[in-house]
Amino acid sequence: MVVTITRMKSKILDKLPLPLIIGLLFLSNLLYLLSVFREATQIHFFSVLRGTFASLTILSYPFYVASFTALLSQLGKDRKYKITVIFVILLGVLVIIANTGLYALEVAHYPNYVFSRVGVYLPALMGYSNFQVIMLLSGVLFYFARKKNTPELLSKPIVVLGVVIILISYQIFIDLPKSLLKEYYFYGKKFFVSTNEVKKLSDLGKFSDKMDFIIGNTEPDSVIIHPTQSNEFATVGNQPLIRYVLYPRTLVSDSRKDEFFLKYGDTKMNLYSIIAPSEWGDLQFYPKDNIEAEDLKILFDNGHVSTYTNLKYTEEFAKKEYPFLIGIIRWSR
Amino acid sequence: MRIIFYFLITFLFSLFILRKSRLTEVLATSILLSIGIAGTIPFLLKEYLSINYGFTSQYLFFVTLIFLIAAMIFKRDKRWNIDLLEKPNAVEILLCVVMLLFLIRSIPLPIRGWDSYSLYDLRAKIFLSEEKLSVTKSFSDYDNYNPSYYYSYPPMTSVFHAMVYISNFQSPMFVYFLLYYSVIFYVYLIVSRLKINRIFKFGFFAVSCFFPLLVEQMWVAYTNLPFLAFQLAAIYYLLKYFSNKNSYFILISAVFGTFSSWTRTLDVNYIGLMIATFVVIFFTRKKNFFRKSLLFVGYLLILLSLRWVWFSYVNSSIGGIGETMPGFMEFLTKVPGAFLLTNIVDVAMFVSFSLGTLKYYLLLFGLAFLFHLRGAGTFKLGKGSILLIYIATNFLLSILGTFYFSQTFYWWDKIGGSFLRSSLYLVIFVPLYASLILEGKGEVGNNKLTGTR
Repeated sequence: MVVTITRMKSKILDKLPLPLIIGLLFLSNLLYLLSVFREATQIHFFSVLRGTFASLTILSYPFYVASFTALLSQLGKDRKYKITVIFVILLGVLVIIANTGLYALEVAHYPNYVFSRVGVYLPALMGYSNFQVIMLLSGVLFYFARKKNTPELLSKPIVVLGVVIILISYQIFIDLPKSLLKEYYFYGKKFFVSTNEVKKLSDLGKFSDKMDFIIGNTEPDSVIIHPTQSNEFATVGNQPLIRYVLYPRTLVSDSRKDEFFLKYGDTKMNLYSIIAPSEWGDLQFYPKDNIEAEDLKILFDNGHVSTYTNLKYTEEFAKKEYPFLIGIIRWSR
Repeated sequence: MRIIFYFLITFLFSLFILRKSRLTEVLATSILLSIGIAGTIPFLLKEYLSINYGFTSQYLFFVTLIFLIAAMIFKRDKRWNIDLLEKPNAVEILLCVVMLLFLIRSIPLPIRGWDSYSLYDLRAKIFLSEEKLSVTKSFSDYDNYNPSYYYSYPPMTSVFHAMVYISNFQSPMFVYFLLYYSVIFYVYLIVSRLKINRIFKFGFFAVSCFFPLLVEQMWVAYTNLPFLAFQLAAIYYLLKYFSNKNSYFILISAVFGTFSSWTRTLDVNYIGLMIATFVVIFFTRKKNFFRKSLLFVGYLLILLSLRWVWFSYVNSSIGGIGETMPGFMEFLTKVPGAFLLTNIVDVAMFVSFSLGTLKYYLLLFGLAFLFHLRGAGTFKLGKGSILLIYIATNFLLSILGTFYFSQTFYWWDKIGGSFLRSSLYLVIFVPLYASLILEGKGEVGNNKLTGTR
C-alpha cells in the first residue's frame, strides 16, 4: 500500500511547477514563524482563531514535505530547483540549530528566559524544528528511494522505525540536558551535595523555615489551628502538607474549629493559632478573629523574631507587622 | 551496614535462583527483591502481628536468608558449580561504575515532590514512631478536604522509607535511584540480546531509558518509578519464561507483579500483565491443560495476593476508599453513559493534551503495530505479541478509565500530569516492542526469540 501511494505521489510531484512549490514552502514557513513569534506579531489580536491557526500550522506540514520531495524529484531539471533545495535545507538546519541554542540559553538562565527576552515561544519552535527534522529525514529517504529506484525503501521497518527513533533521540538530546541542568542548579551547582542541605524542603521555598519556627514554638502534643485550604493559603492551609513537618501535633482547619471546640472545648490543652499573610492573590491575613494571646511570636524574613505577651490579637495587628513570614499565637485559656 | 548486609543476602539469593546469568540481571533482580520485601513484610508484621518496625528492620535479612537456604536445598542441578555469574562485558562494567558514582551522589539528596511529603513520607514518619496506619483515621477529622487521604495508596514506598530511616540514613532518595538503575539494567538485558545493528540497539536503549520525564522520576519520591520498575521486571521474567519454558520464572514474574500492585493499586497495568501471562501459558506450552491451569492459578494467587490484602485491610479499617476504585458493575453502568459525542471530544482533547509529550512514542507504537500486522499472516506468538498485548490492553483500559473518571469526578480534567506519569510505561515498553518487531523484521512467525540462558 505504502509503495502504491509513493508511486502515485511521485507522479503528481514530478509535475508540480516551481512557483507553486515555493509558494507552499513560503506559506507553511510563514505559519510556523507566526506561531513562534506569537507575541511580537500580535497573534493574540485574533485569539478566537487561535485554535484554527494552530491546526492550520499542523495541516500545512504534509504540504511542506510534499513540496520538498517535489523539489527533490525535479532536481535535475534546472539550477533554480537546486538553489531552492539548498535554501530549504539551510533553513531547516538553521531552525534546528536555533532551537538547540535557544533551549541551551533557557537552561543556562531561568524558565521563560527566551520568551521574555527574545519573544520566541519555545514549544512552538520545538514543533517547528521537529518538523524540519522529519522533513529533512524523509526528504533524504525519498531522494535515495528514487535514485536507486526502490520505493520499497519507504516501507521497510528499519527505515521507518529508524526515522522515529532519530526523531525521539533528537527530542531527548534537546530536553535531557535541560532537566539534568535544572537538577544541577537545584542543588546549587554541586554534583555532590552535603548532608546539611538535606533538611530543607528545598522545592517549597521558605516553607521549611516557617515550619521550623512553628515546631520550635509548640509542644509535640499541642493543637494548632491553621487557615482553611485555598488558593490564598496554598501551603500553610494544606493540612496534609504541614502535617508532614508538624506531626504528631493535632491540626485543625479554621473552617472546622467550631466543631472541634464543641467537642474538646473544656479539655486542657496547648492551643495555638498560626498567623499568616496570604501566599497568592490579594493581600489578606489569617486569622480574622480576635484572640486573647498568652504569648505571640512573629518570624520575619531576616530571621528576626518579635515576642509579645498577654496581648489581644486583631487583624489590624497583623497588618501593622507585615511584611512577616509567619507567626504563632498561644491562646490564653 | 545493616542495609548492605541485607542487600548482600538478597544478592546471593538472586544469584542462586538465576544461576549463570548476567551480572546486570542479578543486580537488578536483587535490588527489586530487597526493595519489595522491605516494603511489604514489615508492614504486614506490624499490622497483623504487632511486631515493631525496629525489630523487623534488625532481622529482615532472616527472611531472605530463609529463602536463600531454601534455594540452596532445592537447587535445580545437583552439583555445585563455581561459575554462578557470566563474565561481565565492558558495557556492563561501565554501567556498574557509573551506577556507583551516582549512587554515592544520591545518598544525601532530600525527599522531593508535594505528594511525597504529605502522603508517602508522612506515613513513613508514622511507622517510624511505631504507630499503625490506623492512627491516620482521625487525622482528617478537622480538615475540609482529603478524607481517607492516607489510605489512597498502598504503603510500599512509605514502608521502605521507614526501613531506610531506621537504618540511620538521612533520606531514602537513593532507593529511587536504584530503582531507575534496575529499569536501565532490564532494558539493557532485553535490547542487548536482540539480533539487530548495534546503533539501533543503542537507539532503542536510549529512547526507552533517557526520556527526560522518566529520568526526572529518579529525583522525586513518587510511586510511578517503583511501579514501573516492578512491572518491567514482571514483563522481563514473563519474556524469559516464554523463551525458557521454566515454570518458576512465571512465579518470579508474579512476585514482581504483586509488588507493583502493592505500590499503586489504581493503575490497571496488572490486567495487561494478567492477560499477557494467560496467553503465554495457554497458547505456547506443550504441557497438558491441567498443569497449565495449575500454573496459571498459582500465578494469579501470587499476583493478586497483595492487592487482596490491601483492599481487605482498607475495607476493615475505613470501609473502602470511595469512587476511585469502582466495582465492576458500577464501572459497566457508568462507562456507556460517557460515550456522548461532547464527552468523547472532551476526553479525546484531554488525552491528546496530556499525552502530547509522548506523541512520538505513540507514533512509534502505531508504526511498529502496522509492521507487526503486515507480518502476521501466519500467526505465531512471539515476544513482540506479548508486549503488544500488554501495551494495548493497558492503553485501552486507561482510556476507558478516563471515560469513567469524566463521568464521576468534576476535577477529572485537572489531572493531566498524573495521567501522563501513569502512561510512562509507554516510554519503556513501546521502544522495546518496536525493537522486537524490528528484530523479527515485522514477521511474527519469524521472530528470532532471544535466547536467555
